[in-house]
Amino acid sequence: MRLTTCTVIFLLLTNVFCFGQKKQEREFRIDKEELPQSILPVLSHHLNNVKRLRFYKELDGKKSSYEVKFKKDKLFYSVEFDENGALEDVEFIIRENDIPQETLNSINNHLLKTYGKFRIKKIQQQYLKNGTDAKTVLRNAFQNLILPEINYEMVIAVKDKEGYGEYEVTFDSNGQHLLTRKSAAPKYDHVLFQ
Amino acid sequence: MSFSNNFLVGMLWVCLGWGTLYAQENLTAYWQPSAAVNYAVSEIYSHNFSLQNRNYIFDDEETQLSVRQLDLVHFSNLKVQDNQSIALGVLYRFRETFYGGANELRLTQQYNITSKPFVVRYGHRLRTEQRITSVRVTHRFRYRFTLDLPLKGEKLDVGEPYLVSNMESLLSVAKEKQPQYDARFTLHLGWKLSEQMKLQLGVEYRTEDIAQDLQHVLFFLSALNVSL
Repeated sequence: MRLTTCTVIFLLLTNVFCFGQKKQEREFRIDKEELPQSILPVLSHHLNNVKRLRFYKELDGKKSSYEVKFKKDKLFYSVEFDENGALEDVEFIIRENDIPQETLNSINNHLLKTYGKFRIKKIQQQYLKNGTDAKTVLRNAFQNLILPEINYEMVIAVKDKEGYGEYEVTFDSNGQHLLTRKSAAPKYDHVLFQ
Repeated sequence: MSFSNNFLVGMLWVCLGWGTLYAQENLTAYWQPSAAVNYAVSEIYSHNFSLQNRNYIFDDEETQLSVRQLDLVHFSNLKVQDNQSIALGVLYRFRETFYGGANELRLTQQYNITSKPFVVRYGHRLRTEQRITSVRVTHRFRYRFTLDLPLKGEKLDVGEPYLVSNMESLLSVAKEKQPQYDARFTLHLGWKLSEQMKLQLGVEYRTEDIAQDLQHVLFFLSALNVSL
């Protein structure tokens, strides 16, 4: 019994020392006061009657960014800012049937051709800043306008050579493929066999 | 902020639970440490090996520390969808050496499905088990509902805490025995120490044999999970 206890304590201590040494990409929740000062004046006008208002900071070693997330008029919004507090994009979660039929057909064709079998986990309608002024981007996004410059960002689950994985695939408003990124699937072994 | 709130609520739950239980005469409490190793055999097939032991810390209205049993466990897990898996498990429980009861061989069949609409992940697990001892074979049917969530942000990063909560109901049937109904409630607080390693501390409250001879059992759990 004493030996077991000693071993567990030793393993724990070893780990506590080890995990402090590696630089990691991480995202964490922050308080409103920790946001760059320029963010809230731009956004406050749109924050009336919102629910589940949360602020996040993301660090990837070289740069940081900020995200403000909330629920407004039954939609889940995510507004992203760079490290200086300049608007980068606005996204909100939609369903398949919110996408115009022709665009959806084009997206589905691409996904079927590329992956065969896939499961859509999340779709976001995206308004990039791309040179437009922040006020206009925010207004367009909160009016849910379907404009030529919007994108659709989809998270899909796919079985590939490395097993089941997650991809983030972006399409333009016509359903033309723009970008694919593979995301690391989290491990949940600690939950499965307890 | 959110972590502190969740942690306080969790601790309050534990304290209230313990306060209520301490007064019970038919209470047993255990400390159950475990260590598990998980590794992928192929893209969709993985193994889990674990070792756990159960120690009495409160029984017969007395505080004590004595080993009750030692379990060696293996699970073979097959992913059938990105959010669904089936698994077969085998457990061998050494009890004779420590406590004088019968050793047990346990076979498990498991199906698991999860969904994650936002930050919280929900899991449903169905298990059937055959518990084989020299005395009898008991068939057990289990359903467990789990929710787990990171406590800092929306994604669990290295160095961050997380919460896992389970509710499980169990039905055991055996020849010439009345069916036994149990319920379990578990709360785990975990830390992702590195990409490979997680540490969990938790409490589990069990009500056993609800219909006939109600027993209250409390577990203090500690677990080290390694994913290679």
